[in-house]
Amino acid sequence: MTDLVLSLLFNGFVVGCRYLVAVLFFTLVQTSIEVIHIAYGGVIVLAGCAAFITIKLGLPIWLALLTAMLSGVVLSTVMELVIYRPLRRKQASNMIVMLVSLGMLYIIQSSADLILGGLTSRLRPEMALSFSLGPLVITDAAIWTMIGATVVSISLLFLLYGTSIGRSLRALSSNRQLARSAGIDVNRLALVVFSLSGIGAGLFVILEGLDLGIRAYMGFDIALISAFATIIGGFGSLSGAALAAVLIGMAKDTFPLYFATVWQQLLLYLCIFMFMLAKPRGFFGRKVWKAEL
Amino acid sequence: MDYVFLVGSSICIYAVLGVCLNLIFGYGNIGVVCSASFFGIGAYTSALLTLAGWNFFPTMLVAIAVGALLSMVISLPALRVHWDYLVIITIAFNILMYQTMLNLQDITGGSFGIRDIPPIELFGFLFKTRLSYFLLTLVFAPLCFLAVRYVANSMYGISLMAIGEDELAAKSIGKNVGLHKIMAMAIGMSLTAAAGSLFSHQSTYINCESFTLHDTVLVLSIMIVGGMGNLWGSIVGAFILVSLPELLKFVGMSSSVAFRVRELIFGLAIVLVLMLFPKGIMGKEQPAEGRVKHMLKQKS
Amino acid sequence: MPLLQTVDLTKSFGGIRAVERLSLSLGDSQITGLIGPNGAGKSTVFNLITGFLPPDAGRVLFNSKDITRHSPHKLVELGLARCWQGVRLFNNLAAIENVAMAVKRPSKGGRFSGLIIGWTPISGFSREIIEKARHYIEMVGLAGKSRDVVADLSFAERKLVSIAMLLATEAKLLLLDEPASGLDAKSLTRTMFPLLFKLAEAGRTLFLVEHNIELVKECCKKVFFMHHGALLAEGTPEEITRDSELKQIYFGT
Repeated sequence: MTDLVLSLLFNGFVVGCRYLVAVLFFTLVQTSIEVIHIAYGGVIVLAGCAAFITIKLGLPIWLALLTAMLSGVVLSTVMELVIYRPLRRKQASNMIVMLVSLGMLYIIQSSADLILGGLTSRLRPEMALSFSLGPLVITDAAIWTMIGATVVSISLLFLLYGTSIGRSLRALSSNRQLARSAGIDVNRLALVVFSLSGIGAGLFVILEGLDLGIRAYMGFDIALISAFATIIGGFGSLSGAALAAVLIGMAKDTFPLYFATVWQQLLLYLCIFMFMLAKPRGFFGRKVWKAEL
Repeated sequence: MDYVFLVGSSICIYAVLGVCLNLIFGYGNIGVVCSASFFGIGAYTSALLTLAGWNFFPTMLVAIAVGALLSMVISLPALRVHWDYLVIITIAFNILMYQTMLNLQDITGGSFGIRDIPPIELFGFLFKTRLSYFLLTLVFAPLCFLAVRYVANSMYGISLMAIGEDELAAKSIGKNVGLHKIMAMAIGMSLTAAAGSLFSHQSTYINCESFTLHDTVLVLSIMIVGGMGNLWGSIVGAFILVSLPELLKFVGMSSSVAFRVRELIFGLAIVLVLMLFPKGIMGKEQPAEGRVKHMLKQKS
Repeated sequence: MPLLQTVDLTKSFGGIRAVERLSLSLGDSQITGLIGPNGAGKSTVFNLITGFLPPDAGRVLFNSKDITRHSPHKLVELGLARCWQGVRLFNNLAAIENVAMAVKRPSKGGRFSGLIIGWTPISGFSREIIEKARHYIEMVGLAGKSRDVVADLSFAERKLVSIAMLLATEAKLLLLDEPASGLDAKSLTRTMFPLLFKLAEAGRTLFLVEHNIELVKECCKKVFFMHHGALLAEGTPEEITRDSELKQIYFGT
């Protein structure tokens, strides 16, 4: 029995690592520009479409990765320039921005669904390569996912603590007004952050494609998971969000063990909801003084 | 013709949903995205009770009570979070409620739903036909609208609007923000549940697929298209967004395609309206000038 | 008997001590100032006193009653109100509506009286409330602009509206956050100074956070000087402004 638990935990961990890739970028956008980028799900879907087309043309996976990343960057940049920047200029409230973001997700998601027609596409027709390590079965997709998560985490750490852009991002997230008056160009930073998230979207979609395949409705799932992870992880905390992402992944995979299939989703959301009620500040949330604007 | 009555009654019911959400979200700026859940709770309540032999009207009262009580579950985080996060939390609640409806098969029938729901009987009259039901909703909707409008224009409603605009300013002049928010949610969601109780008798059948996140987004779109804070606008919004997919079906779209197109329309509606017409299609409802003139006229 | 008293008020943010064991007391019907260099913790003190921030330690006493963790709206009821530095108003409403929002309600009828009163479909403000609002708007000298939507008013006029709102709450103790900021010298001497005196004469106690030394010297009877979260000195404006050490702290070297 423990073997089963172990392998489920491990698989869940891998799923969590995959979520982490998307969640980190989502949280990065949110903490630096204060945008709850629900439309990120749409970016991921579009990247997925690009990857799907690339594969359909018979091209290798690494090329699909590149096209996915590229389309992710392009769409994210368009979103920033056409939607988020004007809203920022108009000083729209965060609520309005989030609603618009939700609207964008719907637009992209349903368009993709209309065009793809509800297909699921596995990136590779053949069975995944795998090997055994004790009770665990490790697929190459799992290896790539863990590598991907590690690379993303380290890169973001380096970005935030080793570059001047990162310093600006940190300043922006801790005290917006002060940072702005110190001359930080929010628009430029926004472009940087969104472009990075586009790259992340490409990576995520390939990893997801290797495992579950590219589904038209995946945008919603990951957008919601990212949003939940950000809240559970705590306001302004990237590490918290990362931890939450991994935990959600593990929960998704281990719940089936203890609860009948029909109950999994319900209990998962129950846990998420109760957690958010009980600890609205999440794991590592900073104390947000509500009076501060 | 029956079909037209069916669409008409849906418009009336969804107009009520939009108006209720408008009170909470449009006036109070409280980001709740779970209308469909309360709608569903009301529907299931009435369906089950009427099947157990109850008369319709008491079931509506029970639905209202349940809606009000359940709204407290949402009120708690609303007070502590104060944030855009509330949108995400209520989305989670919506999904949770849907999953509950889906999985509590013994009570809700899961995706098979509840069948053979008896038609509404009031004052000895049986509302069996589509026409009679439509007329009933045609009475119900304006009543709800007037009720919400009354609340919105009362001292409480104006305070709620002030709170929605600037919570800190409202607090510093003595407004009990928490209480106002709790009441807004209780009123809005209990009326939503009431609409749900009515809805369960539209056909003899309901199932959880009418109460998904997408249905909540429909209500959200209705509120946005009509203008947040504009109660009349929600009626217009309901008319547009509920009849549009039906028109599309007329043009020959298959049902599943129409479903996707409807979602596309939601997204477009939300984005376009919020970006281009921040005040909604109906524009500013009542400019302060007019309100003040009326107020000052009263004085003499 | 001091109207307001703080006892060892303390607050930290993360690792930073914003307010350090602050004890002060305010006399009745006076204008008192709280000054200090930027980052001294003055706004934090305001927020701690008015219930917008919970202190880590210490107490706040109002009329000898412990009000330490009371919520802001309760404090307004008890007679303690504040306005905001950037001026927070309800921008879509007219000036008179803003003030009407703040008018103290008769306590009879309880919390739900708001729903019952004012059944006219257009406006929920009763005649009495409008009358009172008008009175306060006239008191601050804005009678001609009462119908204007506040978003269209000048900054100085918006300030006056917020002061009218404070008056409307009928609070005994008014905390004003930088009343001079954004006002030019003429508005200051012509409008703000006389208004502050008028309020004190009418029996209100004013507590100001202020950067403008002119106003402090002109209007305040007593001044508290804060630095790094602690109370360094208290005295008359003359005493404080004459002290060279404090001057150095305030203006830096």
